[in-house]
Amino acid sequence: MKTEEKINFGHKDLLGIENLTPGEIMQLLDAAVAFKGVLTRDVKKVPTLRGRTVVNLFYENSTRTRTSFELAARRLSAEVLNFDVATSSVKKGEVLYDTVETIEALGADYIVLRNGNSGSPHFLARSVKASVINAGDGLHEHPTQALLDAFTIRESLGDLKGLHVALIGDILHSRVARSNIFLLTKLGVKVTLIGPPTLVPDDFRPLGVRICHTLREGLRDVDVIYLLRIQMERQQTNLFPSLEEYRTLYGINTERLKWAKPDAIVMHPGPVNLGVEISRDVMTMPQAKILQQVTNGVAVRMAVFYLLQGVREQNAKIART
Amino acid sequence: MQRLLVLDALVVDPSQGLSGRYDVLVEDGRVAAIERKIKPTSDMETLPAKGLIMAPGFIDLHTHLREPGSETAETIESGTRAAARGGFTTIYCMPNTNPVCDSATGVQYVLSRAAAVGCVRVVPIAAITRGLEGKSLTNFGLLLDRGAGAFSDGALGIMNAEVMRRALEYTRMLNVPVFEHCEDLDLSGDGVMHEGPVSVRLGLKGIPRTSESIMVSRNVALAAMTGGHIHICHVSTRESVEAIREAKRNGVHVTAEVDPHHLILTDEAVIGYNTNAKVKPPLCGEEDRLALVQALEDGTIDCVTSSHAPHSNSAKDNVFDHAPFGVIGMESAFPVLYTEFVAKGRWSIDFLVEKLTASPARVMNKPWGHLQVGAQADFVLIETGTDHTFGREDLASRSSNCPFLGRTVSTRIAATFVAGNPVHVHPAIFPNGIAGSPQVATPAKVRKSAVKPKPAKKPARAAKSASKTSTGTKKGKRTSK
Repeated sequence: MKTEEKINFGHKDLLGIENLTPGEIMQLLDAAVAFKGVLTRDVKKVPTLRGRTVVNLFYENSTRTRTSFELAARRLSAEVLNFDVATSSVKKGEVLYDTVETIEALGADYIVLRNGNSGSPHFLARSVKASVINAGDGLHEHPTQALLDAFTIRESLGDLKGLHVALIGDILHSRVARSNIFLLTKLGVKVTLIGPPTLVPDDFRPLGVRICHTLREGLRDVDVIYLLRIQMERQQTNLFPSLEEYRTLYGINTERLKWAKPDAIVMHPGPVNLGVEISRDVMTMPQAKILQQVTNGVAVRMAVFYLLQGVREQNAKIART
Repeated sequence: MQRLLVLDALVVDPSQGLSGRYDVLVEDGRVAAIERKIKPTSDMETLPAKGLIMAPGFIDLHTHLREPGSETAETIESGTRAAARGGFTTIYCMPNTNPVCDSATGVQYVLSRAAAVGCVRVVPIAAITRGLEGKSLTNFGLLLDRGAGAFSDGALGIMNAEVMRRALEYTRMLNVPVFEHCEDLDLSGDGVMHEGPVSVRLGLKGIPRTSESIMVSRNVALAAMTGGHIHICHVSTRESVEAIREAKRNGVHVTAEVDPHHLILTDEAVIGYNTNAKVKPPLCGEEDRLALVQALEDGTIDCVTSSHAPHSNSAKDNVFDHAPFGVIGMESAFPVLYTEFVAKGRWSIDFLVEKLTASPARVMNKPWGHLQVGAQADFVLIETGTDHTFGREDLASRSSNCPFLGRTVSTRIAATFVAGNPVHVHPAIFPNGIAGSPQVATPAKVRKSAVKPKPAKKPARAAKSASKTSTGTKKGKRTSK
């Protein structure tokens, strides 16, 4: 892949899907195809980020996402630093900005941020020179997850336009759901949200989605069944009465799979609560693309670094002239 | 005898139906005469005010001055200067300080500081419950005697209906209102903005609209039962307006206030995680905003207050979840309301002045807010008709968490007088000052000294937060159209 090729992608940071154009999303997905090719070669490394430093700053534990970003950065030849928040001074009440100021002083070019507060990467991006990549902010967005999901759907079912995706579960508290809603509606995909009104409030409607509170009706004519992880803690907040009830109303098993289109695929951002939102036998069916999502995550994140690096180099060139 | 003659001002005093060009004579701090033409004599200072509006000094029933306890955000000195800058000559201040203003000492502290360093009249609002804990009532009679003007638990609503009942029942005999921030804390939970499509889009936790209206309904029911006077602070939703309207129709002793940000902005001002749009009650939807405007117009809501709630820059320059609730508004209240409603032709200047003067005085049953002969000469001179960008230089507060920074306004407060003495003089409008003003040459200097103690640790970042603020307000502006 040559860096001279034309780059339209126009952002220093990847904060969310909402502010991307359909063209930019397609550009990211297309670049990811090329990087997936790299990942199947014997030598899985390219020099795009040689000499650059990527800092993974995770305020919430997420082994999968962090590992995926780390692998993506390493395969682009970057130096990777994992900032372990649990043992750092952050726990002592150091504020986000001061931590990041320190990280930037260490010479970070990229900050991959996972933080429990919505808008935290937006807040940071205003004040740091490094490129900020949102790896999940509160309930708001998780853009690379939505990109790898779209990539996986396209790989399995072809062109996204005209497809029908059902997102099932705790939509209200899900950044994965929001990023997917933004991305899919931008690309002309029909989106249905399924779950009880406490987790799927009507306020989502203006985002251009259909809302359905019964699984059977919601799954009709659906190409992609996208399950969200049910957080066990939510039981205590009266948003749904119990896991048992949730499984009965919204859990996916082989029987219920038939309510969707015959060739429908099943996706999940992980980690899965086996026997709650999805049964074990569905996990092992060929329609389940959950491991494929994980593999694609690395290629998509390489594509994100690649396009941001292009913008950084262009900006540097402009600054020099 | 000190005599000041204001010449040829457009006098607007709704309390006496005055709206026209007059000369006004002030003697020893009181209004001595208002006539079409008063002949100056050699013992008078004259103040040419042709083209300027002259109105009674504004009254603000809802401010937070933060002293004692949070002097980095505001002091009684800087807060009263902010009031003067905005044309307010009487301000009520909330008791949620540290320590809480729930004792005679607390009330006396505010009054003595105001007398020593304040430049406008300050009336302390004492707490309803000790320590704002919502449990045991303060010494209402004693505190009133020491100079408290009303009772409130500030930004905390009283969740226990029994406590509220007793507060209203007891204060009835004292003829003093209970000011209540209406919020069901269980419903609000850890919400940070209005619950609706915008909160869903931004992934921020919502505060449902019923959080306020349920408590408004409860409180007017308790006022009906006890005969006490409930004053509903900063109304924000359509349903609350309905509850107040219904209660007034039934003869309940209820009054209500609304602030400029709820009259002008909606929850869309939050987009971009603008912490200067983070307030409680939260900025709501457009239909709420319109209901508030209409409620003020039809008298359901009695008056306008600023809800001036200073927070230091370092507190507001944060991720949205962690920034405190509250915005400042004394300096911007008149300019933004005038620009939005009077200049655009929806309100007369008389209406706006009334809602800032005679109306709040009526809520408090005080003989203030007018320029009738014999009254203390608290007044404001206002320039209108030229556009300005409302900026940090228009603030006297120690804080700058104002959602209207960067907005175009078509008016400026030219000067503010308390008892005939100038307490604010706009240097661009009166470049030579006004005679008798102790501030003629010093306003800039005074301001600097107040600003200086602010932490200037990170100059680069401060500049950035300024630009952030201005984009945020631009957004707010768009939604208001």
